[in-house]
Amino acid sequence: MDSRQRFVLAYAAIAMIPFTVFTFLNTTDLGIFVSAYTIEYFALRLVMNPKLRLKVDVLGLVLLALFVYFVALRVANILGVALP
Amino acid sequence: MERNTLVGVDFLLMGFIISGLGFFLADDIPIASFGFALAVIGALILMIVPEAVPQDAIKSLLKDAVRNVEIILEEAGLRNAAYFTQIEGEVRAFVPLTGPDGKPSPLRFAELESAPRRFVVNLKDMRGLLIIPPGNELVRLAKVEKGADLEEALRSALVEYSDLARGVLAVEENGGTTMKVQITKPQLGSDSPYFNDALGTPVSCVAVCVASVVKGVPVRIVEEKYDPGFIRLTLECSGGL
Repeated sequence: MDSRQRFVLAYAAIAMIPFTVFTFLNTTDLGIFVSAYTIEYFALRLVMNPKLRLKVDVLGLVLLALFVYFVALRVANILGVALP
Repeated sequence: MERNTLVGVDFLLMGFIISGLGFFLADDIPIASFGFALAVIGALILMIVPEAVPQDAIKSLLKDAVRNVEIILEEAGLRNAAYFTQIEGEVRAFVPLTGPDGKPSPLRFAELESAPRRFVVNLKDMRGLLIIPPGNELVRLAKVEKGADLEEALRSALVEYSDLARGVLAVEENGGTTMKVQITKPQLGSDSPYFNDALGTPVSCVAVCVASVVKGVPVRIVEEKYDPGFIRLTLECSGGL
């Protein structure tokens, strides 16, 4: 098993945990799932440090942008401000 | 297209489709999140560089190469620290017959570059063996260039490109003629005494290849402290600076 397979399998395994837990808890907020996947992704990248094809981590940036969007949405919701 | 790339594209597309259908049609967040996770896994398969040859296979090949050099050095009875120098764009290690006291002058190294490529060198007062050290090709592949930042070049070759170590620290002293390098968690060791004395342990050997290209002058190991957890190296530039 090479380093790519190890990383992908490890990510798939740990992504199953929030998916199972949140589904069991009947969570209806996609942001919670995405936030959990994002945190898991960055944590696993720090631990396993896989080599990427590109200099810029595009997936990390996309996940981070989604994470920021969902957090902003939640904050706006609490403050009572409408966001798109 | 590589087979795994196809798998990655499949996962990515399926993930987006499932996610879209789950979110917009079924209005089911767990299905949408499942699709999202599939898409992330697909993107990971596409983004992460696969290992063309397993690390263990590379390490075993390198060990055999080290043993071959060890046999040659043992036959010749050479344990003097080698001078790593760049000749026609390739790094060569010159293992001198004489010890550090009979150190060749920078002028002699310049002559070595124009001399015919021979395994046994006997050029005026320079006598020894000229070998291709393990690390020469790696330095070329990692695109190490003359004049680059030493620590950055070492990190690029040893950590990012080859995975031979976990971290590198480098400090230059005496106007750049002496370099102190600390390599954390070297992934390769060697139990070949002649090789270790002449060229350093395999990871150090690669580090000196990098240093010689960055400096553009002959470099040799003055001191090496090897521990499975780290390597401490003191390198010295021979002339030119």
